[in-house]
Amino acid sequence: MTDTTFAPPRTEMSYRALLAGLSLAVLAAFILSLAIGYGWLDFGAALADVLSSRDSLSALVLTELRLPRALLGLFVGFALGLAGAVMQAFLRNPLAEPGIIGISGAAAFGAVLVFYSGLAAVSSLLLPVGGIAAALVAGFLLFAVAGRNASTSTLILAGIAVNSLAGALVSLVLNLSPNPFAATEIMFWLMGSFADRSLTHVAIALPPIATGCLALFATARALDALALGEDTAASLGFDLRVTRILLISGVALAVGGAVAVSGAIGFVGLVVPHLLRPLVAYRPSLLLAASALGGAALTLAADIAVRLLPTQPELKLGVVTAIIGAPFLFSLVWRLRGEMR
Amino acid sequence: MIISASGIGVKRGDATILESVHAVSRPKEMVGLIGPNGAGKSTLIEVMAGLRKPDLGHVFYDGRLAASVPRRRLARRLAYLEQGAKVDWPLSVEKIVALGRLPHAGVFSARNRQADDTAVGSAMRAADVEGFAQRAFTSLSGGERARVLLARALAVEAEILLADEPVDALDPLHQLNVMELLRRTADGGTGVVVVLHDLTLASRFCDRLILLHRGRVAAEGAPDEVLTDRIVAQCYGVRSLSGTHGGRRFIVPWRRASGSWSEPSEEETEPEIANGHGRVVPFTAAPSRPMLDS
Repeated sequence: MTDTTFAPPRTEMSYRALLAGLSLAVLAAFILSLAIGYGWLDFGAALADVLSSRDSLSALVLTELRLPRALLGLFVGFALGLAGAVMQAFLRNPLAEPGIIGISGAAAFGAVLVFYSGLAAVSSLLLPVGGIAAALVAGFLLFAVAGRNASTSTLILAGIAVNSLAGALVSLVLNLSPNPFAATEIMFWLMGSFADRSLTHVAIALPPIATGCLALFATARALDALALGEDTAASLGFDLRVTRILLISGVALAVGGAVAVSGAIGFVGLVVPHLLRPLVAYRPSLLLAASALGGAALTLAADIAVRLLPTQPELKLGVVTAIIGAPFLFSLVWRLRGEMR
Repeated sequence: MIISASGIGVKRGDATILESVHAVSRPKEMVGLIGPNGAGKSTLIEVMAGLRKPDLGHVFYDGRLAASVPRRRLARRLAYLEQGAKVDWPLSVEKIVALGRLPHAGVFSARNRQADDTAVGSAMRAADVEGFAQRAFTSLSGGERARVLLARALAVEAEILLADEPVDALDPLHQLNVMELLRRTADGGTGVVVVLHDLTLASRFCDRLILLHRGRVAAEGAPDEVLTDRIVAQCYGVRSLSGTHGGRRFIVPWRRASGSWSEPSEEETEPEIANGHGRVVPFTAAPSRPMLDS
């Protein structure tokens, strides 16, 4: 059993290899996402046109349709994978996901409110702005209730409260919607998709997502220490109030920004960290980057699949991830049922 | 480092957990923190570790007020072993022990990797967990887990080690292993404070005992002075068989001191028991009136 001699360098090597592999997968999925779509596109020619700034149709398709979609898949998937890994490590629960503290629900409600108020008709860009605003409000609400001197369970309970409030308000808006068409439009938006987004959408979502991801990455060390429990983590020099604040603001910005621009894309934040955890030897800090890249790869791949599936109308991305993700959750519960008493 | 807790008072709601408690930990000294359930032992050790602010009183680290010592710096000098600690992921033993080096890390990476490796290695050797360094924590037995978590605390290479019931739920052999390791740690220069329920282990391994009873220090001093039959009966509500072996007392709780669950009272026949040398000595009766409330 004494196999201590060469194991540490080996795990570090395999970690680098894993990150390199995931990065390659992300790159491949990104390029595929640019190349695959509904119309035929001579990808090479389009790229050449874009690079020499020729206003050809194919260049337009590439920059106006394909590129925003691929970029959103990249950023949103990255944010969801990262937030899921942070959430599971912080709550020390493999069934946790980014939505658990209510931010996604709030962001969805913010966007729905923009729909309902008719502001969305003024400019579709107000949709993500409303979503991000609502996510931030929810974040401040969580701060107020569970920010400074509260326990982790208070945070979860506050999150559940925020979540159900947001859900109730979305239902209220649907209930009050003036006509079935408006309600249907809202419902479809809620299902989550990257279709018909422009580079401006990307520009709106990227700053909060990037800032939020930085805050989430900053929790890495504390998450390792938290594997030993909250008191031990505190005794190792980590101020858990700081960790909690980074977590809430990080999720509010990253996941809020993601949901605001794409709608709810479930299960990425649950499935990806869980699949990758064994590959990083269960170390919470190492899981963050891996899960972020994995989230991006999976989201891009799912968005490619959505476009390849011959359904009419196009399946919403959130529907596909849920259909794949829910059975996965089932199998996870099945496997964990003995451990989680 | 010397920890000095002075006039500590802790309240939880209306209940008083600790009241004007004084406790000191010095280098090379192993202090046993004993007392019945709910006496405030864990709370006191949390206060000493800086994990909980007392409502009254102050904790000093080398004479400096706890609030003025940055948490990160304290973490390098003080290690804390949580009661009934568990690890939530199947991390390898080695990675868990290495978590003890987190307080020594720089902002982005290890500050001194060689020092970290040495500390982790010697902590694993001391706790005898090298043999399963690559196994997942979740696959270990209770005794192995306890040693791994102790190795994690030792890897901090702190000047003070505060351990809350480290032998909780261990078999006798593992209890002795852990206690001997703590003893060696103290002999090596570290100040050790350990919460214990086993009075014989407390007597056998500790230099000094602090007996808490209902949130107050009921007795403090050398094990012989603290663990008299009278005091044990008074605080724990049990009659004990006791004796001396190799200059150390052993105490075997034998039966409740009276019909009630917690109130000891003087009564009836005194059993005769053997001490460590096989001689029969008379049992010392419980006192007829409370002697500790001063």
